[in-house]
Amino acid sequence: MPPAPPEQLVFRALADPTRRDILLKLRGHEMTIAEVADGFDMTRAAVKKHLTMLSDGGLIEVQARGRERINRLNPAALSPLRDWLSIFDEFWEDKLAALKTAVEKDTKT
Amino acid sequence: MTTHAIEKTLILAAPPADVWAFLTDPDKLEIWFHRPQTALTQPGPYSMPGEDGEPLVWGDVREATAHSRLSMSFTARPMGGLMTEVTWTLTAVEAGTRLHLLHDGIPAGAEAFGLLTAFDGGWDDHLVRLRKASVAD
Repeated sequence: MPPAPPEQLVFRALADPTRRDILLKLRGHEMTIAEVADGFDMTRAAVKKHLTMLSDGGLIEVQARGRERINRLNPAALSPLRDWLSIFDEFWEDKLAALKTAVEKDTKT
Repeated sequence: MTTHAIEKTLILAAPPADVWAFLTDPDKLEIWFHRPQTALTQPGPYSMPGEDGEPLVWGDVREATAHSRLSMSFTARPMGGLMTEVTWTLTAVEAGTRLHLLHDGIPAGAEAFGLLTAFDGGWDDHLVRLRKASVAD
């Protein structure tokens, strides 16, 4: 198995709603580019570009099968993002700091 | 589904009544969190709209005991409909108020995939720090 790609590439791949839709579509299904493109209102070239970014982020694996390129979800690449505890932890740290500032400013005045 | 809790405690140099206002009053919540459409002082549904006017954070106030305890269910747009539980406990201390936060029911593991893919614009930048990497997009 190749080493995990830098998180940046994962985040960048996930930042676009179309790419997230593609990932959802690939959940549980291997698909050719044409199959992925079916249902999206864009050119096959545009879909291919999205698939390349997903592949760069390690979120999908692309395998040549005859003349086709088969795209498959790689759930393992999502592991850096799975940690909702740390996301919420940071969220509350920031919010509580803002609360403390607001409360204490209000009390002094 | 495996869930986890986050607990935070902080001391605020203000009496519990003041802190309570910041947890329940829309004008005060707006300063540090998001503005709810109604005060969070009664059991019942609450909603905090985002800039686009659609609900960003919502749930039900379960218990609102003035100046001491506020508990509510809590979800946010990127959470894909998953409800968690947030409980604030306020205790008067010499320095002011000890505020305790319990955020329970946070999923860990593969469930988060659904949450992630539910991301869209408009959520608080803390949770969307993930999107910052998208500059080169």
